[in-house]
Amino acid sequence: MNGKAKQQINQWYHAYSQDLFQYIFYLIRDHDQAKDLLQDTFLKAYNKHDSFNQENTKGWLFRIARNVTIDYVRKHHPVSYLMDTLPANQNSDNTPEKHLALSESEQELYYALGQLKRSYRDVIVLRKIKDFTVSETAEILGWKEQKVRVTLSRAIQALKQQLKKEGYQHEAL
Amino acid sequence: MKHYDDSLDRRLKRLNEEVNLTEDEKENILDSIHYNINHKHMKSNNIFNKPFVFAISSIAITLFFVVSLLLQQDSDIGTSNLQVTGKYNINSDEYTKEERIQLIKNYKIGVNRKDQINLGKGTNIPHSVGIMNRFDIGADDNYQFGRTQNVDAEALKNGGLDVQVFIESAGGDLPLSLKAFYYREDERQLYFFVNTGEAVYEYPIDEALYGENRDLFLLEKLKHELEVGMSKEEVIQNLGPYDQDFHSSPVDRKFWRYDVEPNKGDPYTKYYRFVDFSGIANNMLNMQVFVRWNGDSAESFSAVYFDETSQSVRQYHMSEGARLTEAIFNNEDNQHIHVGDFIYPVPSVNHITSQEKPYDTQQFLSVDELHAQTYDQTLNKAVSTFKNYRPGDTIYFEETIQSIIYHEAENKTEFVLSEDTSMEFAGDLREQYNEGDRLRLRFKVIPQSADGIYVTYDYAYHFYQHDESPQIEDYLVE
Repeated sequence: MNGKAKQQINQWYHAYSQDLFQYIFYLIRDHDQAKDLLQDTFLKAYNKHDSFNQENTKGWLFRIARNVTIDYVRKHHPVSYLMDTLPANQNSDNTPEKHLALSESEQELYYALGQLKRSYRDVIVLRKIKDFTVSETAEILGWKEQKVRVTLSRAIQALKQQLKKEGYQHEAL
Repeated sequence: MKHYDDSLDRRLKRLNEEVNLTEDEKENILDSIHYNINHKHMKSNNIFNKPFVFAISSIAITLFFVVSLLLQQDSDIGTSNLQVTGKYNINSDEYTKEERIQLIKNYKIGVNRKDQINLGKGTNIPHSVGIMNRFDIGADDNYQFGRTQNVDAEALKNGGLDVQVFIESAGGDLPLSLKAFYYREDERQLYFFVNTGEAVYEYPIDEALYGENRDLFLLEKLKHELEVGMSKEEVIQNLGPYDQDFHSSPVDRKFWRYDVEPNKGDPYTKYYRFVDFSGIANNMLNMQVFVRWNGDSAESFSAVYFDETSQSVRQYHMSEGARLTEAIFNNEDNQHIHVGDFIYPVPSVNHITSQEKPYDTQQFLSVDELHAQTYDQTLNKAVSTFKNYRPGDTIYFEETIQSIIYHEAENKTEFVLSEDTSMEFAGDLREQYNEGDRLRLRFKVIPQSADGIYVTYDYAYHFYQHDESPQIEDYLVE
């Protein structure tokens, strides 16, 4: 057992588990599954601890979380994955209403976000919900910064379009 | 229309605050992490460990290829060297080297050889499409060079050869393309000339690309010289003429492929358009480099090669947004490669080489069988590589419709095919289909990475490309 690794996993867990959970949740919209994937994220981080260069821990953990989540979607919802959509949440116990006290406005946003293609959802969650910088987002997604900017702009337009389609509009960005 | 005064940014931030783990949940997860870490060592002491399985499968793959190669020997027997005749006998002493080069440059693609220059007797070279012949112009009687596609840069440099010409044909008299290599003593520089019928390129080229370490130099070029967005001229200046070009119609992209064969041994005779992973894993090829074109702009690059040090196949891939990502094919989990907008899990060697096994691609697959095609049993997860289908193949699919849902707002029909699988198509199809009907579709496997290792199928690709459901007629099997 690597004592130092275990100690660091503990520290990282206390520092980032809530953020990572929120990120995973918005990728799959399943509270219980997001908890399992959060656990997998830290187990993967433990296994990869020796090869981690100790720079930008938060970005590194988010990258692992993203890969773990994508693997899960591929494994359990291959068609959803191939179709670049969110898996349908068939378990009524896991509907957002159970875990989220969302206002009407937030619910609309929540559903509109779920209708976007994966790359749009990715960049909105990281930039606008998780508040990562362009450079941090680029590192997590493995994109160039320019691509993050362009995709975010398109994603916001698509989100607005989606909200409009559902009959809502907002004042400004 | 409802209206909100709050900004979208603020609403998104608030959304974040609504999703939280309770303190109890946090503690439970941390306990579970500790438990799993403490019991980690118990999992690895299994006699069926990954290196063991890999070793056994490698032996099986090697045996399979040895047998395949032996079976192929017959088809190779009887291929005769081509004699190209024409008005000008380029090998006669009346021509200087410069005149020979000029005559070759005037060689017309698509014109009957008999009307052109006499190149003499060619050497047939194994080639994936059509026939490739090599002509050693200006060589003395004792000149010998292996039956491979590699260029004899050394002989061109020391005067043992004036020009080395490669002509590709469909088997008849009409040449499809020509490439020639020569050395300019005054500049001390190797040159190449290529006429593809569509374009002509002539550039100096780094002679190291045609030496013993061609694979290493190609890799260096890929890592340090090539950029996404380069033109065909820029790429060909860096890498030299390609060995094969082909088109993938579902994605409407052209591909170039460079093959690096071992310097010794028999020439490799079994080619696929996209990567021959098993050929590389079994040292029948050292490397294959691919360029994927979107018009005249390089969209992505890939190099797949055998790494002697790690005794494994490696892959470099470069695409927009993912400068250079690397994978090692070693049956280990947790590797991902970036290709454009996507991150793909690297499949196991076992999974990807199963494409070599005999398989009836004409059979109809059920939903479960379709899912099983992308399920990597070694890694125990879904990947983006089909077990038995390569890019360009057609997957035939048949499943019973369990229920039909019409979405009026989007004017699309969803066919529920299993508990977690449904497919949707444009329009209201409730009149044409009923629950219990068998849906028979065909999907085309399309390449996502430049080398064709990571794929999807046209139905899924449609959703990525368009924001609307596809027409069912595009996939129906009559």
